[in-house]
Amino acid sequence: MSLNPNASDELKNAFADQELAIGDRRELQARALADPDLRRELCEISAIKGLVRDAYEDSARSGDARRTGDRRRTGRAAAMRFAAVAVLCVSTGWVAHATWTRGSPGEFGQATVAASAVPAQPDSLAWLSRNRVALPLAASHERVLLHVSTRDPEDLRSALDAAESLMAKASRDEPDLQVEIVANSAGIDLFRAGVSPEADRIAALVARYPSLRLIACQQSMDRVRERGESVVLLPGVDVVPTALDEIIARLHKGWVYVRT
Amino acid sequence: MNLHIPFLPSYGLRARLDEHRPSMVRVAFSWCHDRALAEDLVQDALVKALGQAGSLRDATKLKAWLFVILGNCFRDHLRRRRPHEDIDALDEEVLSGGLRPDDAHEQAEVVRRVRAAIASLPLGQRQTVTLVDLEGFGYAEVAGILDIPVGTVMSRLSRGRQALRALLLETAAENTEPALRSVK
Repeated sequence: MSLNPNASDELKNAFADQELAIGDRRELQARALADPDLRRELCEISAIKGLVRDAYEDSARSGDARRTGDRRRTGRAAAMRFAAVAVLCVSTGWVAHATWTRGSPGEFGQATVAASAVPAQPDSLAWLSRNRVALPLAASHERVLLHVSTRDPEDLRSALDAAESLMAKASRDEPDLQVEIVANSAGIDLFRAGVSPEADRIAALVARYPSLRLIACQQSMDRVRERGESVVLLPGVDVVPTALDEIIARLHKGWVYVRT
Repeated sequence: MNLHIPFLPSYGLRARLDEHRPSMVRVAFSWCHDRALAEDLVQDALVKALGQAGSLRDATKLKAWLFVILGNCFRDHLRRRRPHEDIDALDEEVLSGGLRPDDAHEQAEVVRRVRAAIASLPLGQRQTVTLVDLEGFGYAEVAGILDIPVGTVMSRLSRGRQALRALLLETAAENTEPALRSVK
């Protein structure tokens, strides 16, 4: 089926919801690569979907049992996305923002390659549609921020896989590549001594790739301490006041943002 | 809150229903923005599901079937409370009671704004958007749950998200000023 040259709003939404047949999907992807306005509209739909999800993230819990901290966490998650949306959709340089699913190091490697070639490769947008990633089109793709906000072991491994893949690529082909892993909320466990399931791997990564930067959110650490738990970070982990500020600052400097 | 179900035809079924309870509460809350009401609606829906378990012919469609029942419970609730009033108008009344000033102070401002934007949508658009975005239902599944054509699902999504875009991205633009700070 050949799409109407002026894709309807229904079709744009169907694209974002992955409801289009493969042929129509590819056609719209190709069109989006040549049409900044269409890209922006698809980006906005995807961003709105994310905002709605975040706003009800913890609403399944009982009201009585729901703690203020939980509300703050949901608010923080939504605020981060809100900030990202603001940067993403208000500025003109953003190309896409979609849903991240766990990927292998190989997949992330492909993503990096695709990100560098977004304008020329229609398939890159297909990859983006499966992954939560924000790419500043005009900026360098030599700086990547990986964001971890859950304690799901698969998420933690996924972030480290991605970082390792990128750093390996940097050592081979892109010596200027900068990579940061920022952990907040429950993701702070990734960097906690005596808690992190990946402590040995992190130590090996830091030793092998000194330029890899690991960052913990002070605010999240404070919340853990409020519960009476001590927080000791692994060697080599830096602290910032809030992950949100770090992410926004990096986005404004043109970093690629990926949330696991 | 634990379920207190008087008649349990199958422990396995009950366990499977319970797995879907958080999703149902989340969606019910997004429809009515009243936590106690959402819990009650889900409780009603799960009890009805247990009583009607024999009518579920395809076990793979359990989740969609549960949301059909939840949707019916919500509409029944709206009709019961004010049988002579317009359902959509009544629904807005329920919503206005759900977003209390106290909640607004306790919740993050952004979450409040997003929820308020969702609450401002007409009921049909609100249900469609939340079923797709919160639970990832496909268009055909949503059509089945709400008993509407797929084309209506698409038009409701389009109109609903256009309204959300106007409300939320304008807000986002107001909050774009970056708070850059140096990293330790």
